[in-house]
Amino acid sequence: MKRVLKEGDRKGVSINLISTEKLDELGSEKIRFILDQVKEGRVLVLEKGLSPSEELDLIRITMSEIDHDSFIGVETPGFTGNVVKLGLLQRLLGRAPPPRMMVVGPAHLLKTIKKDGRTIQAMILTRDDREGYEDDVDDITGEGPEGSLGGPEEE
Amino acid sequence: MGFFDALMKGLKGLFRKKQMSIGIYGPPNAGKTTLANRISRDWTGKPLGKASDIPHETRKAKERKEVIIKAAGSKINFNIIDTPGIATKIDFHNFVENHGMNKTDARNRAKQATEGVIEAIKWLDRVDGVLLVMDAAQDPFNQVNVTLLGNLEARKLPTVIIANKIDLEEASPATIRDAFPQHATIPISALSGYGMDNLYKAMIKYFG
Repeated sequence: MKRVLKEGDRKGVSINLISTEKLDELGSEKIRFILDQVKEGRVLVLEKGLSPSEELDLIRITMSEIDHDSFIGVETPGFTGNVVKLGLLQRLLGRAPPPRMMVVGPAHLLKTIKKDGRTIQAMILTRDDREGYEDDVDDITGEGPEGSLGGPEEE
Repeated sequence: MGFFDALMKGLKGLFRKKQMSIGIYGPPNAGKTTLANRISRDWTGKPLGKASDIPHETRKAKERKEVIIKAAGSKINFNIIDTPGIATKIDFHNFVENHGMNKTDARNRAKQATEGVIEAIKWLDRVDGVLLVMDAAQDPFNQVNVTLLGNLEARKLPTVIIANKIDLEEASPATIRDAFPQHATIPISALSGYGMDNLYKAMIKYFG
């Protein structure tokens, strides 16, 4: 299978800032939109991050769409304020603060270096960083179609 | 124990499920299967699954029923479910480059691992409580930990955070406790068994 060239391969990486209004407009299509963009090699900066259940949906759908050649998953650094040091009032009311800014990108392009409750350091990998990965893609081509892998085995 | 405490305990016992299903969750290589084996061996004499240094060793959830834990003067019948590690990405190259696997095996493992993550997420609908295992030698703010905790809180599932691998020199259970102060954090070494008594007391307290 020939790997399709994406924006990130030769023309730099596209970074799209997605407003809260756009995300709200997308409604139930939000996860599909994000994943389609990420699979095209774009890094998205979401003004309002995903809720925990949306994040879990993103992980679940991502896992079902990983093809091991051109899409290995997502990197999602973000300030998920829901679980980190809630204020006393928020805890008493059982109300989580709204999700904060989040970055979502393809895992072969975006790497989180360091993250704490206040700072996130992420890196966009260059072609040099991914050299080994791309070399391997060519080798894999001769190993047969994805469908020949077979299903999970009992351990 | 005062009269009120005894009354509350009795009432709680009346409404408690006969068996509590407890899911062991966390990112790959946090020590989930080592912990599941430790609990299972301690109370049933049998291990639950194979642990390994290679990520995604557990790719299907495994369940041990009738794990009757006795601690702090009480006993509870648990189902212990060891779930596959949850990840946002799975790259088969990692198995080739870092663990010496051939490409076919690595791709098979990666494919099964993606299915394992989906299965682990599905199990969240069936568990009554969660032991969230974190590697105390790693940064606790990884997206899997944060996402899982957010979901457990949203579902109001009783959760105990396990600060595992405290036998490692660089382990810092205090970092985990500071990161998620609203949850009970129990430092243990599932490998050596250190701290397991405290964990069993916590399971009785938070899941009972």
